[in-house]
Amino acid sequence: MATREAGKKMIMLKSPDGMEFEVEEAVAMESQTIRKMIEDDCADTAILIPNINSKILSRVIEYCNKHVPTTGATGAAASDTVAPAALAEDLKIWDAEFIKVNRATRFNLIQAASYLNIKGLLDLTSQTTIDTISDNSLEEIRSFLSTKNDYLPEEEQTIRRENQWAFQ
Amino acid sequence: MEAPAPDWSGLPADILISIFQLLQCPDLLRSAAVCTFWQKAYSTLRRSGVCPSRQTPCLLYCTEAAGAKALGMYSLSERKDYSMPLPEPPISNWIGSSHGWLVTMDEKSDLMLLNPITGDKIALPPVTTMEHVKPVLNDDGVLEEYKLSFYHGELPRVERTPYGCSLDRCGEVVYIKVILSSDPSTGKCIVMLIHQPY
Repeated sequence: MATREAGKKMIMLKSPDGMEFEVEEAVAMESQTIRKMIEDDCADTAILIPNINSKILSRVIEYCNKHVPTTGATGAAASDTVAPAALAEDLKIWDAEFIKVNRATRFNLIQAASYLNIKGLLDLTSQTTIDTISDNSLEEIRSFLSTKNDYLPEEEQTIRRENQWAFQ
Repeated sequence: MEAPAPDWSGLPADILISIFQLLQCPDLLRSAAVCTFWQKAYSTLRRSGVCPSRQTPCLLYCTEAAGAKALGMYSLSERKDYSMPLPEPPISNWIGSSHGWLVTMDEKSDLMLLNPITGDKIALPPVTTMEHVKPVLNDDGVLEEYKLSFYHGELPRVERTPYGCSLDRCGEVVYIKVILSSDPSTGKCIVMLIHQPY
């Protein structure tokens, strides 16, 4: 990190509700979508993120800020001083705290991670969703994720009959 | 205060599919029944032939109680027993497994591919399509036994006198190993069989 202290390039990210976030370019480039824009010279000083509100965008930036030194281009130099295993462990604990959010926020974070193409965040949010689904009955999955059951009763019967063993 | 819970059935299909790919099989089948949109995502995943990536192995076993009608499956990840119904005709022997499919043999020694998870089955060409296995019919025209003719690898080929073999024993004598080139659900699969004589 020390090597780039002087010439850190900043990028302005704008949410559709009018908030502006100034972030280091390296942090913004954790998002493959933004990285592509910057590399293709499509990014001016400010980038409008069309479908992510300021509340979610600030959390996404918080995530990228935390994760940038270990995965960014400058990561190799920075992690020399800290044992990689300890760093990974620290990040894991941080991630676990980060994702302790309500379902609405988690839902929005998944969408944001997918749109901005941030693999680590998408993996984290997906895994939390998987943990919600795992080992639960169909009724529990529906209630935990408040999904609407739009099957006709006979359709649902057919689906259940096809793989009846999984509903034991 | 908790914001109103979003409807997760509205999760974009590509994200949903990538999540489905990480689920254990029983969870995946239950998720497919959540709503029609999730069912579509599940079908897309099935058609793509991409195997869910992190399946914990399951133990398949036969039980005396269920007999030939069902197969026991113990899920290590859930620590739970399932009982999967077996399709007709009854299976008399197991030849192998590949890409999540079982290769089974019926009482006439004909091979079938069986997906124990979905119950899908695909019949393979009957044993009599092999040149050295001939059907023997009784007076009523009912298949009674097979005649097997064996030979060594040397040329010119010297065939021994064909001998009779009961319908279900034939497969045990002839089949050695079956391997699939890919998951048959994708529609592009070659089955390779190693058999006697070779």
